[in-house]
Amino acid sequence: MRSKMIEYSDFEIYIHIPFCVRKCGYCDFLSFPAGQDVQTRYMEALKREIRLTGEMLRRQAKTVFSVFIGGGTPSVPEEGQIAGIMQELHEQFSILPDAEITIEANPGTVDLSKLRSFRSAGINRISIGCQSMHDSELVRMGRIHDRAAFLESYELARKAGFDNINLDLISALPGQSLQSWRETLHAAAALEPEHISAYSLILEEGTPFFEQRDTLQLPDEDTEREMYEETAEILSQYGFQQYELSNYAKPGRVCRHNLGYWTGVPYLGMGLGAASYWPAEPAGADREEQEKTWMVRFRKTADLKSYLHLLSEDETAQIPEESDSYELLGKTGCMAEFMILGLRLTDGVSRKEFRRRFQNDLQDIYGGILQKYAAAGLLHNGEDRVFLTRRGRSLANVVMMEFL
Amino acid sequence: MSTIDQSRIRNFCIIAHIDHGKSTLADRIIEKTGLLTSREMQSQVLDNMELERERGITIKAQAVRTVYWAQDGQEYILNLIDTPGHVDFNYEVSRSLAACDGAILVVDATQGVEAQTLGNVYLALDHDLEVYPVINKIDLPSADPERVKNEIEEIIGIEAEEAPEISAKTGENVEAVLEEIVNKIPAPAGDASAPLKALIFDSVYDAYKGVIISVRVMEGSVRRGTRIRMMATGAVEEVVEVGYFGAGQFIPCDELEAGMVGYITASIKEVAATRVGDTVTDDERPCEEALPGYKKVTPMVYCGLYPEDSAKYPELRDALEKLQLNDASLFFEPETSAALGFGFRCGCLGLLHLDIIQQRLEREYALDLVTTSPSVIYKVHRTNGTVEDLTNPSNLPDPSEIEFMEEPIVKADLMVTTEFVGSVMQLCEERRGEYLGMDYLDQTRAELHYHLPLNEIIYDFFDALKSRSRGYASLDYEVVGYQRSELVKLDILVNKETVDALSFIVFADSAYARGRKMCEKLKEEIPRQLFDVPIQAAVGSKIIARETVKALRKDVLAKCYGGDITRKKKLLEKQKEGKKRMRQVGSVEIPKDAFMNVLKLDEN
Repeated sequence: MRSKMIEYSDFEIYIHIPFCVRKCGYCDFLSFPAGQDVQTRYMEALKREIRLTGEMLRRQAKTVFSVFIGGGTPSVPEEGQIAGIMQELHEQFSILPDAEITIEANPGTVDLSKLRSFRSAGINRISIGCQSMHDSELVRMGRIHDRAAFLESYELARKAGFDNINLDLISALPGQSLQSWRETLHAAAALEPEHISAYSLILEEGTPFFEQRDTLQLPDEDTEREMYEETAEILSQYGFQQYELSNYAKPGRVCRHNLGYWTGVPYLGMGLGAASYWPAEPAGADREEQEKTWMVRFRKTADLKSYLHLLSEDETAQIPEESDSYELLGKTGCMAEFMILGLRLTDGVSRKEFRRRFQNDLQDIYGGILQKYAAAGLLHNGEDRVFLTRRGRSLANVVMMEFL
Repeated sequence: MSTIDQSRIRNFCIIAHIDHGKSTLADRIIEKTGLLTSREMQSQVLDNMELERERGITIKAQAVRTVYWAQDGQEYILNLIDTPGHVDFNYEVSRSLAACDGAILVVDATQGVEAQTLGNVYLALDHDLEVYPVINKIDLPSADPERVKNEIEEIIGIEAEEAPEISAKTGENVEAVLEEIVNKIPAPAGDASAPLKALIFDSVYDAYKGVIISVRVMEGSVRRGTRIRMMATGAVEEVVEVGYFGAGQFIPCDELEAGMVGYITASIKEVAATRVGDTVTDDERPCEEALPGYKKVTPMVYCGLYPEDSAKYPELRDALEKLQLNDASLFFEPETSAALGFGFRCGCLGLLHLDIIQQRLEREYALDLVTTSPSVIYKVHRTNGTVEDLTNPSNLPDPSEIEFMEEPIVKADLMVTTEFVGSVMQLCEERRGEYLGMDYLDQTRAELHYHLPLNEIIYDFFDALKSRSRGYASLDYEVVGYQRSELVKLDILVNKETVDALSFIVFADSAYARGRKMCEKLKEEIPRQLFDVPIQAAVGSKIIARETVKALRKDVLAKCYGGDITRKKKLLEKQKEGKKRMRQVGSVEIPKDAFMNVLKLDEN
């Protein structure tokens, strides 16, 4: 670790499992197919990283209120592997009894026995990559499953005892019509999952979709916007409330883990390429110096070979960080992130919370921007809270970039 | 101290059409005279500005002194005075020519005589210079020196039979050119004991030496300590140093005498003091009259130059002052635009000149600029009988106060291969040209003569000409006077507000088409805003065209996980950077390039 990490309690943990069956057309996450042997060695290295991190924070109570196992497809490794990781986490950290523990899974990579093993390892929430209810769209995306396979996995998850399920959906897909998106929403919502994440497709550089961008028949901007706006409407008919730009939940079922990201809670990321966000070691005694070093963000190496070096006999093997990923955030930077991330939430940011964290009045820092976009109808500039209007949510970037 | 025998000096220039090989021949001459070793040679020694090299043209007049041992066993000093090769720089060419005693005309053996060849030759002949042709590029397979010689004799009317046939590229027969210079170009005359009389043909600013003036001494002499006076500007300074031009360096000497070419420094800080074409004399013993030909250059094209960041206004002023020092044809004065804030109205010789100025400001002075539509100088005859020059369309008086207006007219000579005569004539008709006549130069080429309004050719005429003649046509022109014309001011309204920087004067019958085109172009240039933005073109209060930029509907980054934040932030930052390149006009953000881009009429 770059510097010794300072102690901090009440945080969340992200675990990255980079394996998948096959890369999808739109996917820019750090994931790839790999053989059993590599997967097993990776899991061993990951356990070692968890242990090393735990030992570093040994002396303090470390209460973890959320764990998220993401990927890749964490349901790809053989049964028992994830349980091993969970066991190591419990040994190194004090995970609260009512912590939210989520795993991502893709249809076609789970059976009942594997799902049950997740449950018995303490995992209480599952996020299933449904993406679309139309087979033609699934094929175009390069998904490994069809609608039927998804429905089967969903039923199995319920059967295995998951009472908190998220479905991932993607709008603005190539060839997708407003009507087909509506159908996907209705079909997904009718299954009564607890949570739905509905993302608009973004063509990320380096993905197959990006390479084909000139020939992809993408919906035009107005259709895309209609898809976005109808999502909230349709899902609300099924009792889902929008609580973030792309996230909808039944009452009391918001994703605590992601809420943590959006409200600036520290997190430890472990595994290949995983990012962490942690209080920075204060740089000095005087206030000006301290204000330059509030938080630090860093990433583990994205190179599998370097990562697996953790397994070597060398007792001094360090957790390999990405050398250029170390980002020190001062107070100003933290305030900006607080706004950018906080405004993603339907409730927006609380003036009181802002004052509590930064000892500054929101009005004094960002009054001008708030006024400007309130006047443009993109922002509600309330006495207690500041949040994006319905139109503002479609144009979030326009507002957010102002805080940088 | 030994003075140099005038009979051993040759002051000459090389004139040519663009790309006929002038700079290459200059390089070769410097090489052959042994001033520099081959290793020291840069490819184009005279063009020492980065920009010049990139464009492959010579912008500024400069000089170089070389020493040549001729076949007669004598040592000769050759002062090669370089001249710019573009029609925009005619005045500078004329001052450089005035500093010479003869000219070498380079003609491409594959291309033959072109419009600008003629322009330059006539300019040289006007200065009573003898012109000696050289046929270049004989190494090319398509070279036809005999045909080109005939052309020179028939079209230009100068003796070409004995013209050396050379390849400046390979160096073949370049000695013949040197011998020609020594044997044919007259040695300078002029009384070294007469009062000092020297012609300024260039001046550059140096941070250490101040202004460095390039002169040709016509009479008398100048040395360190001489109190010199610039006769037109009246500036008086004591000479600090005199010297010669090495290739790319200054070589101090004791004295410059009649017939010599060299430089003078005199701690001159006053930027406007040393104008090209002015006469330098001895303040204590002045000559009776200045050399003829000086004129305060009058710019032909005006446009607004604004700093992208309004805080950089003082830097832009300093930079323009420094550029003006090297460029007597650049004029500027402060102006204010409602849309763009504080800036300058700049006068220059033409669009190429403007383009060069803009690029030099951006490169050498690291300034980001917004340029407004170029305008020619119109004469506005008011109903009260007064006449005024209009350089900024925004200053056009109310139509009720205008009796009539006049616009500058050029006489244009267009040289074109016969197969393109039709399409070039059509272009000239479209641009309101008045056909004057046509001469067949030979069986394949003709020269068309037109009167054209200057405002029809300053934007994109040259590009259009090239595209309609597959690059074969060439153009030379000069302003011949003013002509009454039906002109109107076309205003562009963005979100119902007139953007003064986009107003321009246009021929009344063309207003509708131009207005529509401008609106269409602007619609492409202006990104979607948070609201619908109407773009309108208007003449007076009458709207003649309209487009709408639809409001931005969706701009949101859907995904955002923990590790994503850094990247999403970068995307937002990039987006914000893009916004900085916009100019806020009223409530609308307009990209700075739009002001210039909308003026380019597409050729198709």
